[in-house]
Amino acid sequence: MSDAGLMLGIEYFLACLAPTSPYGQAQAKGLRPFKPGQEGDLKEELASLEQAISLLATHLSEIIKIRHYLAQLPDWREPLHEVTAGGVLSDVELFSLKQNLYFFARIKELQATLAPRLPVKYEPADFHTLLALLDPDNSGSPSFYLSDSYSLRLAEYRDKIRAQQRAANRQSEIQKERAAKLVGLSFNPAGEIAAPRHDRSLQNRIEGTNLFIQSRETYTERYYQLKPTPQEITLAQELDRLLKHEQAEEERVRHKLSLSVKVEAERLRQTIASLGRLDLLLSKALLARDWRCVRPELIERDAPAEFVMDKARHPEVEASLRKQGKAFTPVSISLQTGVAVVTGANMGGKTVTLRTVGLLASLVAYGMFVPASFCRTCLFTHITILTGEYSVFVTGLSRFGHEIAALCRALPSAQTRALLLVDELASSTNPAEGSALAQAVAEHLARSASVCLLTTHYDRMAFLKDVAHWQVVGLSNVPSVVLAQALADSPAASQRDLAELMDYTLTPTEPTRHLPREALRVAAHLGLPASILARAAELLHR
Amino acid sequence: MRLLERIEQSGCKSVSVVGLAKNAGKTVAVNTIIRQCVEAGVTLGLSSLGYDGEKIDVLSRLAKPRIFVPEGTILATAADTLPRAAAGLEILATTNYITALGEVMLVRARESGHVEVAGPDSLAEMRHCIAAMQGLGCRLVLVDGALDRIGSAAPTITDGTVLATGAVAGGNMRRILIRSMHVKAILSLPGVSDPALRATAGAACQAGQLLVVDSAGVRQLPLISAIGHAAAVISHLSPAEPFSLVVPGAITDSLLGELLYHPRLVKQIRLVSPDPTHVFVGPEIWQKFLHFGGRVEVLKPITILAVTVNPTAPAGKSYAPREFALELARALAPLPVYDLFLGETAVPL
Repeated sequence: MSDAGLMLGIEYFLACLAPTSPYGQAQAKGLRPFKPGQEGDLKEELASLEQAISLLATHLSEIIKIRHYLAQLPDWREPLHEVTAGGVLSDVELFSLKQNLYFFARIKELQATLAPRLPVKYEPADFHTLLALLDPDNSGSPSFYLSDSYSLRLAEYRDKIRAQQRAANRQSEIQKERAAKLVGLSFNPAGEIAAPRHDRSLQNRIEGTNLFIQSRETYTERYYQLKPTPQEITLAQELDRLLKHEQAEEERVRHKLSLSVKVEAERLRQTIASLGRLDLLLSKALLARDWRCVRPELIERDAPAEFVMDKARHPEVEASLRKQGKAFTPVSISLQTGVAVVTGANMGGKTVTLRTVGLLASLVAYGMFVPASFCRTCLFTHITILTGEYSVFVTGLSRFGHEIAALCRALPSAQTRALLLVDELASSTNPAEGSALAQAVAEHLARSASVCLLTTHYDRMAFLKDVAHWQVVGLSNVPSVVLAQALADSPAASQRDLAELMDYTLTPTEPTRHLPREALRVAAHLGLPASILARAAELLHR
Repeated sequence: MRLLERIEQSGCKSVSVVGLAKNAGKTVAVNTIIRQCVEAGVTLGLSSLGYDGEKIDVLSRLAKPRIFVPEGTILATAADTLPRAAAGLEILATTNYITALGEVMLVRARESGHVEVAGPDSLAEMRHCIAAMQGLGCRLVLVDGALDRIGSAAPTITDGTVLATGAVAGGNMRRILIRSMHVKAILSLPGVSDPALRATAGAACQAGQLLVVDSAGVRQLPLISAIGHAAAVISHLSPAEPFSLVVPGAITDSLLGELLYHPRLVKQIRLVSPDPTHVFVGPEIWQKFLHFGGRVEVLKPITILAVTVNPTAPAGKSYAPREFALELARALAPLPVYDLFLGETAVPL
């Protein structure tokens, strides 16, 4: 899908979607097209999307708030996986769960104010009890702390630890004060006293108190620390024991909380999926509004295959044209089972037509509205586009080799309902064999249940029976005086004029022996030297 | 005056602590400020920037060092450090800043105890964390800046800086003094005085452009960086009149060394750098550059609040504490110098 997706513009669509939550992003990544047989599901999806788009008009501020809350959701899929497997949640995981639950509730509140309300599969479940469990002090704050309220024993240990710390501090302060007075020196911030190394008598006095031990020595000083008293040692050991108890109790509380979360795991999973769907739906709705999309009309599975679009636009091409200050000319075409052939001038937008048809059909398959004024289509088993843009150097196949290999893969069997789009079929070999091949392929496809659109420059193709013919109006309606005028400009300007003079409209035509000859005119506009052009014209008329 | 009083008097709401070398006594400075905050009832925010070599132990993945924080302290620290804290921590918010030790979280110590602190990895992230901690009610935010490239730029995002130096800064007293004075001189580089030049240079530094500004106007040099292209930069300069050279990247020994071959240029030049941590020049070349009339100005000056000294180096070298502190206090005056092992007030001159 990736190459074709890139060519069609589906990658561009996925990139434009921009869901804000990790859950929506995961769903966007796993987005799969609807296949024939799933028309019912698709209709349901399109109905929800229509509802969401209408909510953008009536409840925009609520929708923006919901998107804002979705963006705040921390990704909780991994912890959910762990806790289901019996793991114990860490404080950080409990905190991010609390954040999730908090925003679930906010989103649920906002959704209740929407009219009409979105279907239940887009709504989070109610986690009132679980949220209360993570906020034992009923503080309403989004922060998380293993509070004393979780366990009497925890509170008891923490009280004892505080008391013990105070007692230990008091003990050591008293001890320090006494010792400092005794030797007449003060302690530094590291709890040391220093005696110059030459001052033996001072050292003797310090050591004589039997309160100090030497901690370190430099060239000039000798440093002493207080020896811990037996009382202090007992206090420290007791403190250590209490800290261990506290940690064990905290772990017990985490374990208990994890079990409570595990009970809700399935509902959490469902809500994560619902909010992923909601996020994706809102992203689609916003994009559909930006792209000025309409709801496509869906043909049932048992009706013959068809694809119709009116005034359709290709948003990716449109955006790049807009950057150059140009406008996109909307394209309209109507395709039935079998083959349609598009002929017409170079630079006439034939490839863009192919890409637009492919994109619109794909968008429908992805449950999206389409950038057009009207669209009617069926679901296809697959959508393939062959444009002749292959990475020749990587694989070692020639352009022709690539095209044929890709065509072999893409040729639908007689019963499959596929959409096949081929640009300039068999144009990279000699015209005699190429056109024969192209005709044979077209005749084969004309008998299939698929919808096929081929572009070509071969006269032979324009004369085919049993296929629909479409032609780009191109330059045929432009008076030659105007063309000559445009040619007189600089090459760059004349290229710009060409784009303005070119009529990109597609019209249905009858089979014809001869295609209009516009390649030389276009080449002239692109700046090919006049001498070459004159010689080419001479050869052509010979 | 005690260290905290010095900080409060300066009006700085965020302070970075950086050391000249390992074992310069940075941790003692941090612990002292924390203790004085407890005594003064100041709510403190704490984080760390960059890695001091073994800031994270590669084998155990433990952040070092452990710091004793009082109840109520706000920390910006990575998620993986939380389970190893001996103090009860309330998780207040996440930041979306990811480090090797997980996402940086904003937490409050609900009990006093030892914690590990490993803050965000970039200056911009740290700037946001400082603001967030101030938003949570911290009267002072302390940033422990490591010795690496990121950590030593911590002064550029805090209001003030405490510099830790000591016996480890050099092999003998003379070297220690030279090194300490030099670092102080670089970190105290003056701001760009000319407002027009400040605007031009600010835009150029944002865009990463080398500019020459003189009376004729502004010229962009056709070079991506001054590093490795000192001779090419100089070929674009003329000693006819005073001019400014805006260097958005590092100003190095090689650039100033090359300039010193052209004393007439040095006499006219004013180098403009984004901030002092972009200036990587040794004391010898720096002195020569100043001697020939060269100047360096910065867009964002740093405020050094105080210097702490540690007269002992772990390799065994140590000095008589009082004399050592006094020598440094004289050399670095008027900056207050503290030997936190001797006492809590600045060394009197």
